Amino acid sequence: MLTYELRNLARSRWIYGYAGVFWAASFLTFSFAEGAEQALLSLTHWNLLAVPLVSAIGAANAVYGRRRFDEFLLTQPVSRSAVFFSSAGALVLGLVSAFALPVGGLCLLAESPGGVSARMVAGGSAVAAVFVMLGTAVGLAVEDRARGLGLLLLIWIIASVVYDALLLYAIAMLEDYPIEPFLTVAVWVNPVDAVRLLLYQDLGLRFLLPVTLPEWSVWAGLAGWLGAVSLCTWLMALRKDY
Amino acid sequence: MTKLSLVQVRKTYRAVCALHDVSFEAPAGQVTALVGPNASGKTTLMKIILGLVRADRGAILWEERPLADYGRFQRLLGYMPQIPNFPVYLTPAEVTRIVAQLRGHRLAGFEHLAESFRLAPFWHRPIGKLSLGTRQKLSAVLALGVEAQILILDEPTVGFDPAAAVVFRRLVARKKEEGATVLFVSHLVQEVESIADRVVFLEEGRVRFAGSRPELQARTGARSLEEAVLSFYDC
Repeated sequence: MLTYELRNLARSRWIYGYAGVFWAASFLTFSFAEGAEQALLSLTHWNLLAVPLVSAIGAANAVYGRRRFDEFLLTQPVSRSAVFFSSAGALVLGLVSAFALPVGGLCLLAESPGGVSARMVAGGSAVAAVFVMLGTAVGLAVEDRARGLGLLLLIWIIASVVYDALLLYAIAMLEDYPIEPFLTVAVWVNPVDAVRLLLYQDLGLRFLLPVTLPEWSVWAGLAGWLGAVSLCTWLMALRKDY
Repeated sequence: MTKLSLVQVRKTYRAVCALHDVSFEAPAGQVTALVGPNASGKTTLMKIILGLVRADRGAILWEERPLADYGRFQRLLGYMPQIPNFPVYLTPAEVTRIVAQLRGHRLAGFEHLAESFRLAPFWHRPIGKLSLGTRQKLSAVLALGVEAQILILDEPTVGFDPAAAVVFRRLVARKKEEGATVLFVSHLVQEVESIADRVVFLEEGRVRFAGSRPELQARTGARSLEEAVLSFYDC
């Protein structure tokens, strides 16, 4: 089933449009930025804003669009787990590839610093995977498409914009207090900020987010997020009334 | 006698009770029509039989055993949904291959049925480019092409052209002769008249009548099945 899911996704135009937007954004950034490091910083900001939004909305839309086909598949002798993992797996593979291939390819062509580029692509891919699963979860849990997409927009604004603003506000207001342990946890908890911090550390821009996290803990946090959201979504798929 | 039995099936959505202890039997080798006004619980009932919705209580029995005890009980079932919705970038040939692989069936049986519905010109076109009627024909091929002992058909002929409707009715009649239990939902009373051996009338989640055509006509005093069914609609 995964093969057919991927085939269906590979024939859809919107996934190429999505990949094209990332290719164009990366191309323009590398063309006009002053140096590879500045280009990577700009790309990081753009990717961490666009990837969660498109991944979550794209996944939820796909879940809403294929609900009746899922119903049909579940009337065949196949487990709910198999239907869930093939459709969610195809979405994760498709949306992560649509981000990672154009951005990673242009990083290679632009001969940008390998370690930072690899972390940016890997971090963006991990964030994409987490938000695809989150979009899938909302698509399964909320029957009404408009409400589901509205909820995802709210989650995206909080994770990508509001949370970061609150962190910076806390840093500015409470700089005289020993808040670094709390900030560290706060950054680690949000996958978008954790990846942002990873790249700030790589680019020597720690002052933008003055906390320190070992690299392994960022990856462990992202893996934890992906595992937890996938597990919850899978359990929802097993128990869902169609 | 082989039969599908529903015993005291209840389903509640939050505060709304969709099905109130619904019980009836659908014997093998007969077509049972599930009729009733909109929102009477027909679709919920079918989804419970299909395993898509869990009942709060009650049992679905096949040959006196709970359907769920049959392992992959979906092997017993063939299903034609009201709205055919398949991945738009796949072709009928690919979707058929998915079902054939999941069922362990040969493709030839499906392709033979597709010829009956004159689907050959559309067999390798993306489903997104097919009309609703053509998708409905594909849906019929997938439901009737499987070796199912229980056929569940939800408003099956909506979108069919007259020729396809005739082919469909003939194929359902053949399944019935082969001993399948056919349960179908329809709002088309003439269709119920032409195809059904038994009728279950649902209203507000309750069974108002369940029995054979002669029993229904005797109870309502109507001369035709159409008249008898319509008498429940208070019109």
